[in-house]
Order: sequence, then C-alpha cells, then structure tokens
Amino acid sequence: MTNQNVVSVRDLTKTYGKKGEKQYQALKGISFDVAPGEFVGIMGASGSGKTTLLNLLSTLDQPTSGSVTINGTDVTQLSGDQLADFRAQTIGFIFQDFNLLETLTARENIALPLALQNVPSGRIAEDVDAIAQRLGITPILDSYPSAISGGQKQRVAAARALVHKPAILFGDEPTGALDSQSARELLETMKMLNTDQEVPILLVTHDPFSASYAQRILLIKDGVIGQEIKRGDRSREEFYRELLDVLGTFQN
Amino acid sequence: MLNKLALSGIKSRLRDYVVLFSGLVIGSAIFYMFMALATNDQFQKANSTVSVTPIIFGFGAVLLAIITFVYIIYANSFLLSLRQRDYALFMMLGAKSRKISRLIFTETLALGVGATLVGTAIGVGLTGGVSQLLRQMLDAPARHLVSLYWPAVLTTIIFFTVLFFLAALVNARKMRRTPVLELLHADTQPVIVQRRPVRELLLAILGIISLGVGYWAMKAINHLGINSIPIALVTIVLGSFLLVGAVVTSIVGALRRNHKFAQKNVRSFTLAQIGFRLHSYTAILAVVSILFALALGAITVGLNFYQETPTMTNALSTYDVVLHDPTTATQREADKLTGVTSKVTYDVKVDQSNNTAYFQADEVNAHPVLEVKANFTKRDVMQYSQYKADTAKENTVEYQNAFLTLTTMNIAGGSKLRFVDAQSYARAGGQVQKVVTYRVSDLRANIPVMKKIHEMEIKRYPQLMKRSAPDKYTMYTMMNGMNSGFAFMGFFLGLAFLAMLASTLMFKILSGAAADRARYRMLSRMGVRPKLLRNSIRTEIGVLFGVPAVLGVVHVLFGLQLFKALLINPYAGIWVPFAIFAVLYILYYVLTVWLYNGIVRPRE
Repeated sequence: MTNQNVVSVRDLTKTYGKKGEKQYQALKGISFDVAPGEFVGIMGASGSGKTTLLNLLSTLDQPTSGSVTINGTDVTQLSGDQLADFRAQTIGFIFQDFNLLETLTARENIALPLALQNVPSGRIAEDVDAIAQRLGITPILDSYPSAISGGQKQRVAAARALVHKPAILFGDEPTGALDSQSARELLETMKMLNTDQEVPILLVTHDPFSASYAQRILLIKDGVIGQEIKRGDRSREEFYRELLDVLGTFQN
Repeated sequence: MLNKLALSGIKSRLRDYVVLFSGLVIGSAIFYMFMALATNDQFQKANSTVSVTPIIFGFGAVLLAIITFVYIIYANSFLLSLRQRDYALFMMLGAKSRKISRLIFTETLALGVGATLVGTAIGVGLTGGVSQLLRQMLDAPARHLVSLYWPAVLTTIIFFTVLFFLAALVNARKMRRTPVLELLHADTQPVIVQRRPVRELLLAILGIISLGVGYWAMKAINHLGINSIPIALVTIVLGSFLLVGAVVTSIVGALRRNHKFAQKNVRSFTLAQIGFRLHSYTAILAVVSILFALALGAITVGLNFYQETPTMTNALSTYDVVLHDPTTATQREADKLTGVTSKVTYDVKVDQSNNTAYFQADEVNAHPVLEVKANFTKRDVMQYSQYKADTAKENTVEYQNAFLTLTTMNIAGGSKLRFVDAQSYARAGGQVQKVVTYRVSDLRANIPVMKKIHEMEIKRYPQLMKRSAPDKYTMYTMMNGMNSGFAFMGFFLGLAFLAMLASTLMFKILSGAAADRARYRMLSRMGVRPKLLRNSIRTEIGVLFGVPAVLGVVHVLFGLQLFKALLINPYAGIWVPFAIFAVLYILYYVLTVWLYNGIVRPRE
C-alpha cells in the first residue's frame, strides 16, 4: 500500500474516572482516517469530546480502548523515551495559547525541535531561516515572545511545529486567541503549507470560519462522530455557508 | 464559610505547605541555635581566650538577622504564590477584599508564629543534641552552654513574630491592592536581560576591585585590627553581588549565543533558565556565597583548632607517658596504650640524702633522652634533641630538665644529676627507681588511658603535680581547654550557617518552581525525553548551588588569613572540613532537585 493513511483511528474510547467510582465516557468509539496531504477539521461543541480526541491523537493521553496509528506506528503502545521521541520527530503542535517558551527568543524556540534531534547547528540555522521566511517572521526572529503580537507568536509556534518536517500537524484551536485579521493570515498560511508542502493537518476547532479551510470536517457530538461534511470542489465561502447551516441544526 | 474554603485550599496543597512550614521551622531553629550561643555571655567568656569573641558574635547576629529577614521574604512570597489564585477566585466570586486580606493576614501570622514556636522547640533540642555530639567528638567541655536558654528563646520568638507580623501586613496589602485579574494570571513574566557589555565590564572590574579590598582587609588584620571584619564584610558582599551579576550572567549569555554549543538537546532552554534565574537571584546568590564562606570558614577554623590541640601539646611535652616503678595496675593500663612508637626503661638511683639522681651512662647512651624542640612555623614537624650521657653537661639547665623530670624527685632546687658507669651505679646509695617512658603516634586516641595513668601516678607521687612542667596529659587538658571552645563554636556555627544558607537557596528556588511548571509541561509535549528534562533541572539547580559555592570557597581561602595570628597554619588539613561541607551541601542540592522535580513535573 503506497498511499498509507497518515492517521488511522479505530474504535477509540476514553472513559474518565476509576472503576467503581462515578465514570464519564468522553469518547464512545470513534474511527476515521487522514490521508496524506489532507486537511481535516474536527468540530464540536464544548464537552463533545474533541479535546479528548486531540489529546489521544497527539499522545498526550492514553485511550481506554481502541488504537491510534500515526505514520504506521500504533501510538497507544508507546511509552517513555519512545513516546517522547515520537512526539519530537513525527508530530507538530500548535496550541491555542501559543505555548512558546518565554525565556527563549523566537529563533531559539523554533530551533528547539531540531536541537532535540541533534541536528548540526549550521543546518539548524538554515532550516530556521527557511521556515521563518515562509511564515514571514524573519524580522522578529531575535525577539522574545513577550515583545511580539499574538499573531506573530502563533506564527512562531507554527514555525516551531513545522521546522522538523513532522508527518502531521495538529492544531488545537490555533486561532482561538487571535484577532480576526491574524487568524485569517494564520489559516491562509496553514492552507499554503498544506497545498504546497503537502503537510497533513488535523485542526480541532469550534469556529466554523477556521474549519472552512479544511477539505473535510468531522462533527463530533457526545463522544461519537455525528456527521461528516466534505468540501469537494466548492469554494471556501460556499463551504463556510454550508457549515453554518449544518451547525445550526447539528447542535440541537 | 470563607475560612472553611481557605482551610480546604491548604489541605489540597498540603505538600507545598509542609515544605514551607518545615522551611520556616528550620529558619527559626537555626536562629535559636545561634542565639543560644550569642546571647550567652558566660558561655563565650568561659570558652574563648580572645576578647573580641562577643564582638564577632555581634556581627554574626546582625548578619544572621539580615539573612533571616531575606529568608522570610522568600518564604513569604512562596506562601503568597501558593495562595493568591485561590484568594483571587474568592474575590471574583464576591468575597470582600477586606475579608480576604484579613484571612491572608491571619494565615501568614498563624503559620509564621506556629513555625516559630515549633522551630524554637526544635532549636532547643538541636542545641542539646548538637552540643552533646560536638562535646564528645571534639572533647570540648563547652561549659555554661545550656540548651534551653531563656534569653535566646525570647529573642527568637520576638524577632520572628515581628518579622511575620510585617510579612502578614505586606501580604494583606498586596492582596488588597493588586487587581484580581493580575492575581489570577500571576504567571511571572521573565525579565529579559539586556546586553550592555561596557556596563557589565565596568561592574565586573568594580566587583573584582571590591573583592580585592575585602581580601586585603582580611590579610591586613594586624594593621586594621577589628575594623578589618566590617570592611571585609561590606566589600566582599558588594564584590560578590557585582561579580555574580556581571561575570556569571555574561558567561551564560555568551554560551547561549554560541549556537554550536547551545543548539543541542535542551541546552538553549537550560541556559535561558539559568540566565533568567541568575538575573533575579543575583542578590541571594551573593548573600549565599557569604554565608557559605562563613559556614565553611567556621568549620575549617573549628577543625583547625581541634587538630591543633595535640600538635601544640606534642610541641610542649616530649613523652606521652612516664611510669615510675610500675605496679601491676599501672602496667596494665600502660599496656592499653595504642600505637606505641617507643618504650624505654631506665634504672635510676635516687639518693634523697644528697638530692642526686644517678643515671647509668650505658643505658642513656643506648637510648638517649629526648627533648622536643618545637618549630611552630612548620606544622607536624617536630624536632627532638637527643641527650646522651655527657658528664660535662650534668649541671646545665637543659640536661637537668630533661633527665630529672623523668624521676619522681622533688626538683625544686639544688637537685643534682650524675651520669655514672655500672660500678659506680652499684656503689651509689639511694633507692632504685624504674622509669619507663612511652611515646605514641596518636595522642588523642590515647587520652582516656593517659588520664587513668595520670590519676594513678599522682596518687602515688603527689609531688609531680607541683612541677612547673607537668606531664603530657595535664598539658593536653590545658591546650584543649584553650582550643576546644573555638572548635566547638566553629562547628556549631558552621553547621547552623550551612543549614541556613542551603534552606535559603532551596526556598528561593522552590518559590519560583510553580511558574516553571508550564514550561516543563510544554517541553514534555514537544517530545523532550524525561531524562533530558531531569538533566536540565539538575544542571540549572547545580549552577545555582555551584556559583555561590565557588565564590564561597574563594572567600574562605582568603578569609583564613584572619586566623594567622591564632593558628599555627590555618590552611593545614583543609580538605577535611571542605569534604565534610561538600557532602552536606550536596545532600541539600539533591533534596532541592527532588522537591523541584516534584513541583514542576508532577506524575502524569
């Protein structure tokens, strides 16, 4: 199989609470795939289980049952150093609250994933400069996070998530803390990365505008995939309108 | 209701509170230990031969008070960092800020006073325990030291209550004045260090000059007298402060800019953490380096005085034990001596009628009598004159002292010494006295046995005690009486200061740990191996412990100059106290790393 799925999720469940105590089932059996180069959005209201799903996908949490395969590796079987290395090499993250290390400059922040893999410093400099140029943050590379705007911070975070060429990029409400202009710019950048570099993206959001950049949307409700919407050949604007319609009925 | 909530808040962070409480307990316990010595004039008079001792204790008390003050500030900010989110949440839910500030005031004061009472009690116990231990270890009587000394109890409780009252006021005010939102998101913003190379260079030079003046002042104690201590204290504190601020930060900065070095694993993060810390820790690291020097210096000097006792004793008296006509009882004791390097028996005839002692020339020539010639410039190098049977010198004071003191004669005046051959010896009148001399390699180890023999001998020959040159055991007790007081104080204060400085450093590091938690979680999410994170923490805290240690060691090496007048060689055997100190200091480091790890990397 040459066209192996980047992400493959099978019968994933997650139950919080110990046995005998009050339990809460956040995910009740979820299965889906992400093909290479795909831009997939996961939407759902608060409490629908989308954050739980992302935590499982990104190996930050362990599922109760089911499997998550990323790039051919079953991540639920990883632990310790293997898990750390997998995160460092295969996954890129963008969080809502940027999660930049504020004691490091933008350049040092971006270089960190490469430094972790002991890439020679000459190549680190090249790679950092290249990704910075693509994301338009070259002028602020030597600034500290506290000295740059939210939009710039998120670009730095995106650069850090992508600099080591991960197999997949996870976004957890990356536009959540941004103004609309910065949000639009970031989403355009992500789309550009997705189409030009064929970086698969999995974006978790509750914002239909962000979601409209994806090619396919999975709507989660009460721990299961309630509906799947494909963009097909439509323009983003049309897709956005459809999403608004669907969400209007889906939430009830 | 709010009280209940506040209490449940404490319960949920019990671990942090235990750390805080035990830290405060340590602080007051150590303060008490110091005060038990510092406020006890009788003890100081009885245990030191130097008149400046009370003045030195005075300086020490002021210094400790300042450091305790700083310590309380850190502990207090740790407390506030534990509580402010909870209290801000209560305020957001509508609790009156006056009520909240009263709560935090009560909490701070109750915690502080509670810790002080417990700490003082522990201090009393520690004073008893440590002094008991040191008395045995150092053979120091430490007279007039009582573990429960009321003036010290009073001083400690009043001092700490006032401090905590102030701290409680500050906390309450802070809670009232700071906007709720700021309290809720009190994630500390790191200070970004601006590079100003010229300024840093100037400060570094100033720091080195300042240290130089301080070191010179200690060396020049003979000219400056007691003034040299305050001069050295001020300049060395200032110098350490400038040096940590300028030099160490520059080194870290330079390493960070060297991408080849920094861009490996999480080095850039570790360096940034260290740089960030050093910037806000400059003052504390400088103070800790001084404390480090004081503690290490006190232990070094204390140990030096301790080790000097046998050296001085050996320099003043030759034979460790001299038996006269040994009985079975005295012989049995003498057989218990360990490490005997020489044992010589002389048969001497003592004729009371003409006040003469007859030594046999052959015996003396075979085993010349030794007389120590002390050379105080070189430690442990003893030179001995060998006295053979030289009839020409029978009447010299040297010979008379060396030989007649071996007998039990009353040598007050007109006693005569004669070297004779075997026939003359046989013909001479008087009683034969068998004299056995012992020399041992380790004086201190044999002191208990020597004490017994000494007591038996003077019972048989009371006239021995009337001599101007007493036996070795008596000499030892005199020397020990002079030195053990200093040794005791040195060790006692050294250990107390060490506990204090390490606790201060530990608290400062732990109080900032909560803010670091997010960073470590983020790194872990990015896929940094747990081992790398642990190493990063070890390195970071290692540097924070290491910088004041290095500075402190340098301070001590220069500071020992102060004791040139009091000790033969203050630098002798210096590695022993350094090693003891290093072990204790490293234990504190390990403890801090462990606690810090527990805070920033909770088990997931």
